[in-house]
Amino acid sequence: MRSRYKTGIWIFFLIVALLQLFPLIWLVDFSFNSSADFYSDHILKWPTDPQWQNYKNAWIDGKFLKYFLNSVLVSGVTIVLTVVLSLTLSYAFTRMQWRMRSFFFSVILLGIMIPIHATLLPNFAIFKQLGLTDSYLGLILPYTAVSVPLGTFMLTGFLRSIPKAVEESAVMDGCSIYRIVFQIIAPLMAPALVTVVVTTFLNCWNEFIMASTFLSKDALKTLPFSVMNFAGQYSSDYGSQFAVMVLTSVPAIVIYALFNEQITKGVTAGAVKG
Amino acid sequence: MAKHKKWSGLTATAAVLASVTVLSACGNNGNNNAAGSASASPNASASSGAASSGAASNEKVTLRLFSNLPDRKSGQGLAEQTVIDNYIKENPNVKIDVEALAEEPFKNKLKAYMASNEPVDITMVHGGAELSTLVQANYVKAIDPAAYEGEQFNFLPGVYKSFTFDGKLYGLPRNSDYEVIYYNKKLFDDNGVKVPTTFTELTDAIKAFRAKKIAPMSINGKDLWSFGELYQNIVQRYSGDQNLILDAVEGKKKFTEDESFLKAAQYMAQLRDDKLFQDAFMTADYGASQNLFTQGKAAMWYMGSWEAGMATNASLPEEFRNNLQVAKFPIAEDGKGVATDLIAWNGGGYALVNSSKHPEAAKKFFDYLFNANQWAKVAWDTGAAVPAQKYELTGKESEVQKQLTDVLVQATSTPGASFIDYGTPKFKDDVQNAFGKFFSGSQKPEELVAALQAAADSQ
Repeated sequence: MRSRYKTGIWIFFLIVALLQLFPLIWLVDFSFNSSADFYSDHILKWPTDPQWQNYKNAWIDGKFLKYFLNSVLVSGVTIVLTVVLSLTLSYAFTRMQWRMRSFFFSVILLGIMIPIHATLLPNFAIFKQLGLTDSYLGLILPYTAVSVPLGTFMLTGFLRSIPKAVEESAVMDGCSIYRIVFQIIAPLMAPALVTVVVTTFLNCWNEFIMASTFLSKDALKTLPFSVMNFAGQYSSDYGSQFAVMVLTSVPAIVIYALFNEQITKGVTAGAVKG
Repeated sequence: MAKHKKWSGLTATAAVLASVTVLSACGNNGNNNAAGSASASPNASASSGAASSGAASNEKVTLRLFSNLPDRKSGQGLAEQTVIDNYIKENPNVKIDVEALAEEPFKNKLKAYMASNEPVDITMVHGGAELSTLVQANYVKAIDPAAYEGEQFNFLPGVYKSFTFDGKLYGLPRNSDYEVIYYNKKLFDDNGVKVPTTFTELTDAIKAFRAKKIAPMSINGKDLWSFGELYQNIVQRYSGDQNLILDAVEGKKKFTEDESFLKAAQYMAQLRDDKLFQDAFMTADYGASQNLFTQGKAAMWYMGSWEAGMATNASLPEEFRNNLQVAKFPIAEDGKGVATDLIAWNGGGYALVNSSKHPEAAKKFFDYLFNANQWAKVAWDTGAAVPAQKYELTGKESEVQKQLTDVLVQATSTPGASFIDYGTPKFKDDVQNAFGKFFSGSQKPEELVAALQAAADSQ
């Protein structure tokens, strides 16, 4: 009885896993097919003649490497800024006593409600005046601004679950505030920090609308532009686009696989403690 | 994985909020706009002086071209790039920076450029509603039509219509766009169906193909604009008057008064109820409808002349390419239109930008681009498009290109504009939504005509 119950659960999870993975399998499968093979009756089509050309196109015509490095730079700086700001902010909101604290906390949390694309045109006008369009900073600033509220929200929740006793003993030993935050609290919050890193990464890695509006120079463009290089006015080279998307999603998958356990911890830890 | 779901829920709420906030953001933008243009103009005049002296001394100039053709390796993108490469070869002191985005991002960014008076030198423009907005914002430069007469440019007559506002010309068209029916000859022959030349023959063909379980005609229903062209085509077949529908858009006539509009709507209802289009056509985008046709699963495809390249596209099945033919839109037995009345317009083109930092160099390249032996020749030779200028047959054309040329050359009348693009952007939206409603439900023809009139009234 017990084992049958277990098999049932296993089958259920296998089906769920397959459903979750299907888009990825589909993506990889069709990246080896030519554009004409799309829209055939098959859900998945075994590429009898694998189109390695698609990957060659993605690498050369899609300027993959150049855009990849830009994406890494923009996402990397955004993540560092987000983590440092969220960590210090959340510490200030949970551990320090100051006037209007809860007011400012609400103001920061309001930021979660503001979607990045709503700020597109006003930002464009302001950045143009400041000369920030066509620069890495022009993307890093708005990406960070949007990521910090969510990061702060997650980190404050986590921080409340860490006993104050650790810090108290650190203070007794003469530890400075910076040392407490970065050397004592930060390692304890590793799971939550990883979650912030990954969500921030996913958000900036795939962002296109803002990048397409702010950037004109080819030298600064990020990965989502690569897909665009295969879009015609009426029809597109789907095979090469899929190849680009496979290459683009590899870093995201690697990061998720590496930190998978940490993320689950980060999301649930602190949730039960009232 | 559960976490992902949480985020998507969040983004959904965020999207709703976004749509609200965007509206207010647009409202603010008008103010920034004025400030931007005021500060940019002294710059522009200062550097125009520099450019004119630069042209004399062969100083290095970098021009900025904003294009909607991001794929530079095939089709029209390749043609555009070829002309640019030709020009740079002849003028080594000039560098041309191309910024290309696909259709939707292109339109959005062009609006942002317009609002901030960005000093692009030359931009791609869509004639009609979009260009009208640019003209009102004083973003594009008026040009002199007299300068483009004669052998060197060889524009076909009447192609400036969507580029002219208040009697002034603001850009030049690059293509002649016209709607034809592409059909698969083999499917017609194998099933003993006659290629339709009249509306009755078209309905007969529908029944014959439906009986054999073949989709009679493929259409990109999701994009909606094809319905607009189709309606304009049918209205013209009944009325015999190319300008009738354009007058109705301008408010000189009424959709609800001329009976051709109702007759056309009735015929469209018949086509809809007879299942002319493939199953689930409302979900098919451009690529999906094209693939259905190129895979031999639909007998006809209602599409524009820019698809001439299909005949030489090596990635399509050879059997299909050998059987690809072009037919004129059928005529109504009880209508006044004839088969040589062609629904042709000039959608895409280029315009010079007012805030350009190198106006003279930009104009020079602009003129070069429209030389009859540049864009027109390159686009035609590669099969990327049918140009808006006279082109010479090289003898190497595909059968499809020859047939398309015949359709254009034999045309006895053209409207010069597509009616959905003849009004404001709001009008286009409303009209397309009206067609979407009509084709996805079982709306009555009278309701469609009323919806069109409402769209024309409220623009």
